[in-house]
Amino acid sequence: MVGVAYRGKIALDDITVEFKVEPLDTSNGMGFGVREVVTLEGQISESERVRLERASNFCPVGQSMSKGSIEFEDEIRWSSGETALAFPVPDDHQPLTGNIPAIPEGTVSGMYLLDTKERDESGAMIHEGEAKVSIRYGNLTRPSRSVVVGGHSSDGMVPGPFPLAHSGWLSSTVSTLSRLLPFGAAGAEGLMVELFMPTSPGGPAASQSNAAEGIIGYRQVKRRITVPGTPSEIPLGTIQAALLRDPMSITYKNGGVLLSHDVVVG
Amino acid sequence: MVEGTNIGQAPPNIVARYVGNETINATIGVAPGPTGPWSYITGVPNSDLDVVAPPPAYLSVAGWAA
Repeated sequence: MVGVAYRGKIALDDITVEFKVEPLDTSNGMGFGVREVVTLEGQISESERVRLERASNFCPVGQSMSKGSIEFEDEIRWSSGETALAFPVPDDHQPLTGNIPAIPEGTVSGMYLLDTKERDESGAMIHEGEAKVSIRYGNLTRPSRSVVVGGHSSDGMVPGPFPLAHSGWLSSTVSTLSRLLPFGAAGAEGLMVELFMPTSPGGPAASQSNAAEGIIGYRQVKRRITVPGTPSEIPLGTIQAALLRDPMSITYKNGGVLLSHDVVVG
Repeated sequence: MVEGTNIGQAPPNIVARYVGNETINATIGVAPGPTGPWSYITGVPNSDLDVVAPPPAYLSVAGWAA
């Protein structure tokens, strides 16, 4: 949003975003939805607000979860050495049964760190800067919270938004498989998921241009899942069926996680 | 529009591993280079014990927020 505002010469002084994460009936598959409110600060006209609202609606990371813009193929590796491609999944393949506890209610709040914006010698912005993201979520005995930092800075400073989102996707994959697959006595030890993600042509500038113009930027990635055991102990079909239960994989495949979206001037 | 074509021709960008006790460790930027590594812990939702970190979906939403 900061990059889109800068390129569009919109006087955006500050920006915050809050997501409310809501557990949903598992009949929708994902098990959760989010409500997003973006608050803009600055001398922003209604037409500029509408432009930024469109950019927010087509945020590259948001697209992956709300519009299914990530096209992914899975490869399965067993610790015994065999490998298999796990796509396409037959249309009549049924999700694996088994209990997956609900995703707890909570909030995710992003605060722009103004002084992390980077400029070149002429004063032109070269990196949009970073956001501090506060996560609050329900736990069994107490509410909990944590903080992560992400954004667009010089290489090595912070992870970008896409890698952060993808790390949650891979972790969700591990989480779901750890609950559902029929592991042996050693449990899920050795379960691992890797992502191969090519660099986006054009980088953040191209992605922000797509967002500003309301274009969905599809990306292709490959996910490799390594499971302990052999194909006879944990068959390919069982793994495919378990993946059909994974909240983030369902979200990435189908989109639809966004329950509401508002962009307001504060 | 499809972005990216050289799938699988480079080391993985991100790796997530189950590390026991309902906990997962994801590392961004595992290959040598300037963009990483950064590691994040997430917790597997369960009905027996408090998780030590947010469930994975929260990390994805955090990326969206950033």
